[in-house]
Amino acid sequence: MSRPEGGAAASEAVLTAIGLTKLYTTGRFGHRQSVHAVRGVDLAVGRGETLAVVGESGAGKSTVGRLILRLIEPDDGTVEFEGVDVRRLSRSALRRLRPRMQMVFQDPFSSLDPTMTIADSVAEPLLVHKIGTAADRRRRAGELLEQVGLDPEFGERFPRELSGGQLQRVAIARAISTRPSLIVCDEPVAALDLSIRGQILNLLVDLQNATGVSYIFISHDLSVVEHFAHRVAVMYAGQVVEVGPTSDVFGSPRHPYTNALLAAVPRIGFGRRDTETDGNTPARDERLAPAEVGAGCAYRNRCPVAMARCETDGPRLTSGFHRVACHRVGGKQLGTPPVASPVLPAERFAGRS
Amino acid sequence: MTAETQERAVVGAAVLMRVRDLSVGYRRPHGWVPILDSVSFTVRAGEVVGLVGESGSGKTVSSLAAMGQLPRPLQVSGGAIEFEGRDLLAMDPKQVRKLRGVEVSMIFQDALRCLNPAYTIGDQIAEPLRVHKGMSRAQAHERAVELLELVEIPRARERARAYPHQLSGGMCQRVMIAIALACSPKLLIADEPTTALDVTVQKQILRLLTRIQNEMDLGILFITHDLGVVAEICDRTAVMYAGQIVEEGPTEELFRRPRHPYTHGLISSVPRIGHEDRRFGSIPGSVPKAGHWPTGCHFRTRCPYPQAGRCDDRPITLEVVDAGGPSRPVPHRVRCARSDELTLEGVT
Repeated sequence: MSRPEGGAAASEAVLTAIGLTKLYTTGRFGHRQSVHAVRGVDLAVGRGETLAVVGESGAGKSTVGRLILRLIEPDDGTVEFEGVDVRRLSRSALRRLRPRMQMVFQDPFSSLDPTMTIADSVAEPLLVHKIGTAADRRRRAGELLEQVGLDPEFGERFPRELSGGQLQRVAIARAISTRPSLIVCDEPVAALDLSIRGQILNLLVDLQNATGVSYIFISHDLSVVEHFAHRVAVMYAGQVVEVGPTSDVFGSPRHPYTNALLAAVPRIGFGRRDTETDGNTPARDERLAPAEVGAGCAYRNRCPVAMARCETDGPRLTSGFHRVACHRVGGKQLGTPPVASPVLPAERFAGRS
Repeated sequence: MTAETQERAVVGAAVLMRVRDLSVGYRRPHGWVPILDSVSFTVRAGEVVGLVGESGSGKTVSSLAAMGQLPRPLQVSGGAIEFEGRDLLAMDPKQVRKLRGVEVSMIFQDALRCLNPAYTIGDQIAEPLRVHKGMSRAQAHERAVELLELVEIPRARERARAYPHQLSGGMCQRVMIAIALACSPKLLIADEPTTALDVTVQKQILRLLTRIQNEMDLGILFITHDLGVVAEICDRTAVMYAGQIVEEGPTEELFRRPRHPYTHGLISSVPRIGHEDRRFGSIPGSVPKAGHWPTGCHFRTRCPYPQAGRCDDRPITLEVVDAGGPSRPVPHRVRCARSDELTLEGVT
């Protein structure tokens, strides 16, 4: 398989995943079935870049995030992180690599230990990876809290004393404590109130500008992704169906599913009533059962432009910067090359911003 | 009450539910903790009224109170809830129960959890029909199949025999709607009915609700935190913050010309199409918890325009800022001491 992403190859790739596959078996004994949670996903993230992974629940977004970090073992495919083949690493070597790749989860209430003070939670990764002395770690925890916009005084408190937005800041402080080059953010703002959401997103943008960290931003909220991500990958039933620079994918979506997804986002504009886009919304709301997909396109039962070929022949992603997996789009080269590579800050983690 | 006279002039449609100055709270050893502070709203037949706000603002408590289903230890401490002129608070619990499920019904966010996993969906739709309408088993089953067709579930007769776990989230929400509509209610209270659903499914459910609402001339009280959803389906919208309605008016007017800094902040927090920069609007700080509301205006601690002496010393009342045009006299009200001085940008 060729290099998946022309766009990311232009700048230095932090992470390249090729052909990621995860199978689960379900069903009773004697009636075992294997279900593809993720099949053949290629992704690449450049340094200082944000790649959003969007799709409906059950599309395999979170599984991809966990496969990339090798929190769960892929059944097939390779993950190259900063030039290292993550899948071949021994447990101890993987552990040494862990500080470079971190994760922020959706629910900060359950991702922080309720019995630990905030400062201890923030400094825990440093302790685990044996970085610095106890005094260093304490000082660093204070700095990190300040960096995410919290008073260092919060370090003495417990998670129950903080609000959701504050806790998510703590989770982010903990994620950046080891100066990672990649953070997988799994729905980091989905549980937050609208007025708080912007605060956290702005914080993530600021941290990226200051440190050059890359994000894989898993989200179902397209209006956030549109403004937050440099590139976006749309997943459906475990596969990437469209990927490209955010402005291309949102401006000229090519896959029927991307079209349907974008048309369904409730907008607060009143200019145009959405009757003309109604045709894009699939009439059926159920996905094909994994067993029914077979070799064909997984979206064919909901697709308004499905044809006979889609029943038997699963489309592959086209090449180029804006890639689509759909027979209707064909092998045409799409989109424009990215104008410039993402922001590359000169100094990584040079002081607090 | 000036609001009352304004109200009476409004559109001819019959008022289904009128909640007036409703206050709810609970008793603590050291005193009373308020949850709702004189909340008033009305829902008319054939009208979708949106109740928006962040978590903890009192949206759900308002709707539960309106259904007479406040959980312990919450108590109504003042105000009135009327359904078609009958005072719900003065009624005996038996009568309220008769009202519920027949004339007023409710759907919730988590449809799968609201359905009983041990019964087929057909049986669950038939249950209110047998209890409230006294139908026979066979009659109720027939009607259940019709209702499944009404909510656009394909192969309804077959699906009536399915169990909840065999259906997707969107299908379960359709079943919940079918149950809610079983006894042809006049008012439907929908508490975040599409929040747990994927956007494409959400769109279908919203379209279904709009269709049914038109066909049945149903009044809907739609509770949500999603401004996009509100803009799409609500005729009127009330914005809640820290136990109060801070602004209320026709949806489009409210979005185009917000008069309360909180509404304005919320609207600015929604990432808009066409704005390409990576900055997101937000409101500094976080929602104060019940019992820790500031004196005077509840929003003043997060407001960009507070003024000492006007916003902090006395409770701010909900005032009419625009009575609406003669064709559709729906008043626009706001709870802000400085609303006439502020020019807040809305949706263009």
